[in-house]
Amino acid sequence: MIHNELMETELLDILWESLRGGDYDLNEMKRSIRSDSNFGDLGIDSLDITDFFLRIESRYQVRILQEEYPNLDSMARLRAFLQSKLHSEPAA
Amino acid sequence: MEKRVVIVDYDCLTSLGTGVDDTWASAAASRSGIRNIDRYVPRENRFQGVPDIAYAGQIPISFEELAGSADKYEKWPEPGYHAVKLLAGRIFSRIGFDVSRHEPQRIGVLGGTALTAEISQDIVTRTGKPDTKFILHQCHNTPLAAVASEFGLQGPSFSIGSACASSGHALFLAGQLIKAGLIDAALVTGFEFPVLPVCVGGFEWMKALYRRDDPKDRAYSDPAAASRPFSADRRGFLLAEGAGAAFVACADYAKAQGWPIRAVLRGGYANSDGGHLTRISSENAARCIRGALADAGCVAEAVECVNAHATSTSLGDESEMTALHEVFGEHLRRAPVVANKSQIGHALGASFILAMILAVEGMQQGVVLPTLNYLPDARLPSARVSAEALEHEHAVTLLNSFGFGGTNVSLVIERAPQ
Repeated sequence: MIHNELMETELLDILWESLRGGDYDLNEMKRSIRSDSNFGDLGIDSLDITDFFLRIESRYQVRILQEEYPNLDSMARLRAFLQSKLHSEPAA
Repeated sequence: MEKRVVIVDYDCLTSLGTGVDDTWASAAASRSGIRNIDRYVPRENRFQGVPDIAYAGQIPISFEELAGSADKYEKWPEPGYHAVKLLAGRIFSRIGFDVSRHEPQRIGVLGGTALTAEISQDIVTRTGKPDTKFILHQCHNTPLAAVASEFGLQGPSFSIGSACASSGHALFLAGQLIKAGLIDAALVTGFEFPVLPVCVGGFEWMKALYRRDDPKDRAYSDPAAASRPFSADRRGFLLAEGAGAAFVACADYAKAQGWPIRAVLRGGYANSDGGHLTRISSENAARCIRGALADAGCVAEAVECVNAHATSTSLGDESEMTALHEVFGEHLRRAPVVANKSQIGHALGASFILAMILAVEGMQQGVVLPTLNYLPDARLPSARVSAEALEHEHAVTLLNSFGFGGTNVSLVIERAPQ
């Protein structure tokens, strides 16, 4: 299992990649984001969240269903979700 | 009393410049924006084996520069989106537009394009990389929605698709919405970025483009000589990138805001041939022009310059000149006829609004731009077409645009009172 902090760092890197080029103040976002920050409250566009999840699917070889999206609204929840997936599913 | 519609401000990106001033300066100096294609490598990136099409008009900056950065372009790889946002931002900044001083529901955003959205499709096809905004790229109204979103505009916002006449219809309709009292003002745009293998290849299949295949042709080693509207040796058009935007408003509303008035949109008309899909009907084109003159309340002799659609195809130019002769008769020897596509190429859905901007500049400066490379064609009715720029005071200009599908639009614009 990937260590919590390591995974969140990796997830953040993927998130910044998804947001790069968008109308965001990434420096401010990087300063203010916390583990339990709500993605919507951070002002992240829903399509960029979708892009973020697509990248995660590719990186971790997992499938994120559309109905799971509303629950995955923060780094902490996303990490927990991924860890449960990675723990229960064999790598593709 | 009928509301008058005025053109408050405008801006453009063309193969001759990244704004109105540099586009106008180059055009008035008889320069051409046509050059070797370098958006892709024509000899290597052929669409379905289509022969080499070497020349086109391309805006003189990269798409990354247009977007503001490589990251922004990668995020949204459709140049029309960035172009429309850029032009809207410039115009609104110049006139000090602040939506809080207006009723947002009465400020519209209209636009027109023919083929835009092919570039993101091309990128997805080549890279296979998922793009969550891909469908938005395909929606031609997305650049308009982006402007509405950025500036808080809540009036009618939609894109008009009438091929090469698209931005002409958008201007015409914006004028009608203002005259009907449904809106106070609208940003009207036209945008087109067709210089990529699939568009070039598709037009070549129609035999519509100039093709560099004859060493004896005067443009074989000189791209600037390739676009030759109304000329005896015209051989098809030159695709071009371009985008234009104009902010139009009800005259009284514009005056109350203290906005400048560059020109008056006196009248317009639109019809369609209901016949051949690509060949212009000179009879219906003439009806369209007459309709615009009637709507503008002016006789043919009041028109002091004609800005023609004139793409440089054999049949199209002949049909248009026949229509013009039918309406104007001998007056066509006095009022200059100009074909801006000889300089900037054919920017399809954006072509009308680009011509409109150049026409207003021309009226303000007392200059009719050249129809580059013009050599008289004895098969066409006689008209005053000049390969050189003309010093010519004029206050009323007729503009034509004819799109695939046999869809026509003509507008009459008048120089703002000095």
